[in-house]
Amino acid sequence: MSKRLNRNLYRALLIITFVAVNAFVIWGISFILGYLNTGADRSTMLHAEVFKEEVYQPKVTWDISNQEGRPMDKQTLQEVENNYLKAWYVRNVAYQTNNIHGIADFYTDSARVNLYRNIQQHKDNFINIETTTTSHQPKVEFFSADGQLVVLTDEQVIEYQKVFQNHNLMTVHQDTSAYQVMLLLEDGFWRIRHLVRTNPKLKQLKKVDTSEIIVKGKQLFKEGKPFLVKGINYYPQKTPWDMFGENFDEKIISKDFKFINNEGLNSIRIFIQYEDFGKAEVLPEKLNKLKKVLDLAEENELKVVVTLFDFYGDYSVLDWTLTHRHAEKIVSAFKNHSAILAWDIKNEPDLDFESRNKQTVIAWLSHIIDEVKFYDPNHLVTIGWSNPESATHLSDKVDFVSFHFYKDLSELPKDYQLLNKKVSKPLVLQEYGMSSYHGLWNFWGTDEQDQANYHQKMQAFLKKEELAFMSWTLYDFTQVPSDVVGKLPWRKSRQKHFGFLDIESNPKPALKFISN
Amino acid sequence: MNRKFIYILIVGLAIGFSSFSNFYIEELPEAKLLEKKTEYEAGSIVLKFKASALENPQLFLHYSYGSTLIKAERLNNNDIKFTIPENISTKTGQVDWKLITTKKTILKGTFKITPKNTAYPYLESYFGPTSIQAGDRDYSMLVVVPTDHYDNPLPDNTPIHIKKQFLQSISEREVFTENLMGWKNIYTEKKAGLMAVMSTCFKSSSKELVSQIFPSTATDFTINFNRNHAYADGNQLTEFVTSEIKDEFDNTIADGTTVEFVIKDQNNYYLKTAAATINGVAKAKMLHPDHPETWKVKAYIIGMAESDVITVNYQSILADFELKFIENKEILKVGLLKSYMGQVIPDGARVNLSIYHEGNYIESKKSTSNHGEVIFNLPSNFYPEKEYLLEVSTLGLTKSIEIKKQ
Repeated sequence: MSKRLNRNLYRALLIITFVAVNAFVIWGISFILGYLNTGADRSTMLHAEVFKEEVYQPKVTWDISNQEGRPMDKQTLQEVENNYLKAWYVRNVAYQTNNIHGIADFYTDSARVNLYRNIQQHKDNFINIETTTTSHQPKVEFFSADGQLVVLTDEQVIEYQKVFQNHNLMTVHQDTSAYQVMLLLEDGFWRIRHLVRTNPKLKQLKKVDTSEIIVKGKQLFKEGKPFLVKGINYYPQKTPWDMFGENFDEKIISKDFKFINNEGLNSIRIFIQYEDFGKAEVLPEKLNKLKKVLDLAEENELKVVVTLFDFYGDYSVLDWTLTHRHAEKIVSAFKNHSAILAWDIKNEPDLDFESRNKQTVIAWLSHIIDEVKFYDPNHLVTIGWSNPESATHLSDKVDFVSFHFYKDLSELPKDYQLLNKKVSKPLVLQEYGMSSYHGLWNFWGTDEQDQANYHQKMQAFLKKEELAFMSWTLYDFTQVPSDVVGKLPWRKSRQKHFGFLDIESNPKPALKFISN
Repeated sequence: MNRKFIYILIVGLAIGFSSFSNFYIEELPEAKLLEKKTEYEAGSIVLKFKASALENPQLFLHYSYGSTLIKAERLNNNDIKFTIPENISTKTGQVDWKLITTKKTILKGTFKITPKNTAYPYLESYFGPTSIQAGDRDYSMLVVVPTDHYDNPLPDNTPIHIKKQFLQSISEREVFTENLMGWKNIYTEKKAGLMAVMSTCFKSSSKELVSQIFPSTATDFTINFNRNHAYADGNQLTEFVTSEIKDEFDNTIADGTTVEFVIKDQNNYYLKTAAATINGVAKAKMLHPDHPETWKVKAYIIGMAESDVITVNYQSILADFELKFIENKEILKVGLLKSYMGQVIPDGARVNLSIYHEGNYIESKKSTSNHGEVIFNLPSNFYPEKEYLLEVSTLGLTKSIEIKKQ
């Protein structure tokens, strides 16, 4: 009996081994064939590959006005720009990774050794530099008659560098330099031949403050009169966290705005998701939808705080220029829209301090504020910090300080006083609220009456302090995406019930205290 | 306890104030740059600081090709010294430095590295385009980039002498560098030929660079023709020849320029032949027509120049020919076809036969001559009628004959 079993076992083993060996041989052959087919793509000889995604988009402003030699044509200028920026990009990547990949394509033989030597030293001393340039203002000085040599002066290169040694941050450096650059056309590439750093001629940008709403001391003023923000964070009931998606419906939004205005509020806060809007290449249809929302807000006499970069979390130095283009395209499209109260740079960025390094996040925010202010000097800028303690960050750069408050109400007066003392800007309590959820996941949760009491007390406090506010939120939601509060059901359920109106759009007791 | 607290408070405040003041004053009292030079020549550079109390000081440098971090050396007198790595100290440009300890900037400053003074700079020169047109408009551009031993472009206003040779003349000019290089447009000459340039900067000389001056565009010209005889035998070739084509500066145009000869015949049909020039002359050939003809010929260099119109006449080679029936009128024999001297014409002359019955066209037959003769078969079962008119044409001559069958 056992002998037969043994024999069967042997047979089975033999068959399995046979099958496995065959599978391995077939896999091996296919692997070799696959390997032999790589790298032989002829299109790569002509450098005609289409790069799928732009990875580096600093702001580039060309000046070809006073140029010597052959007149520069658009096509060549485009090629020079493309290659010149790639030269910076491969250099930045090389300094970050200490890998010289790609340098040879964009620097001539004699120029690239300068980079190689420095990178070798960094390798030896375990130095890595995360670096990017956010702005270039190249001026074509000279273009040779045979079209093979270009000299340009890049007048304002804003460089940001983080220097690490043994993975410890040693220093952060930001400066503005000018570079004289000579490029040669070799094998179809414009390659850097000489690079000389010089003193920049600093151009003073005139600051024009043309905003309708202005900041004086600790107050906002609209047309000369004090303007106290009384608002609410808004998502349509059916499409929370996806306001500009497929189910975008003007009628619903219009109805909601009318309702908000009738309840005595004067502002709303909306959110723009970074990827949803197309990252660096902002999608025109999304801008159209945003325009409709802003137009509707204007019709209903609501001011809008537009929160940018929702769900963005990279912050890495090499990703900066892409976020800058995202901001540029959105804010410059609406710089003259009078419905906008402020650009909220990012929702609760302090929550990323731990995972993404506080210094990196702050530096990113600071640069984005500069970008937004540059492209839209007409509107105010703020950052929606998740708690009063974090709200002091960058308070000298924002126009008013926004903070969120979800702690126990009894702590608010103390926290508020402390913050108010520390900053010299107007304050806005930009998010607060209470969930009326109690049920399967939380039997001891607060109910609708608790929520009403909370808002009643809150409004009394806000009125007393004349504090600007934006509550969370108009509706209860049926769906909350996992990106918002995570996947845990008790968190999601809680998040679904912050509204003044329930899932059927019926008023909850708290609605009485939506404003003061 | 209370007193301790006050001490701590005072010290804390003092530190707080001092760091507050740092914000405005760059230099901390802790460190001092010993030799304040704002300009260094490319080579070896050492920065020394008086900074006895600094722990683990490092120097951050931002230069033309990037940035780096270097370690300090402690000297005997407790000063610190930074030897700038050669790859940085030998490259020109603005260098920003920052003296740092752990995460804190103590001092910052900037200096400039200038090219190394040299009597023998390296010269990198570019000359192009290297083929240009004779005349007074076109030019080649000479770009000279003088560099020092460390491959740094020499400063602005460095003089560069440029010499140009063309035939017997040698001319000289001086230019000054600006934006890393010096440049000059070297204008073309009225004569075609080879133009050579060279440049010197201080005691260094470049090698010779040349640009070919090609003749300018052609001007109008005349044409002529050569042929063996004037007979339209469809066999010989007529050669069309241009005059020596020149540009406006009297240079013979470049070899290989295509000349197109356009021929218009009596019926306003066009024939075309083409040839490339050699030494300014293009020769193209065309087969004689096979019938008397008058050609009007004009030549073009397209888009540039054209010739006058010439007329070429061709005479018939055939005075008459014989038509004869053989074998009961079922075979028509054409010929003997004789040429201008009475010789049998070369094989291959086209003969066309058209057949009519009572004025109505029935069909044509085509054939070519063989030994001066053409045979047409007209079997009676294909041609049932008794009367036909047969019209034969060849070499521009037409004759007819009637069949009347008994």
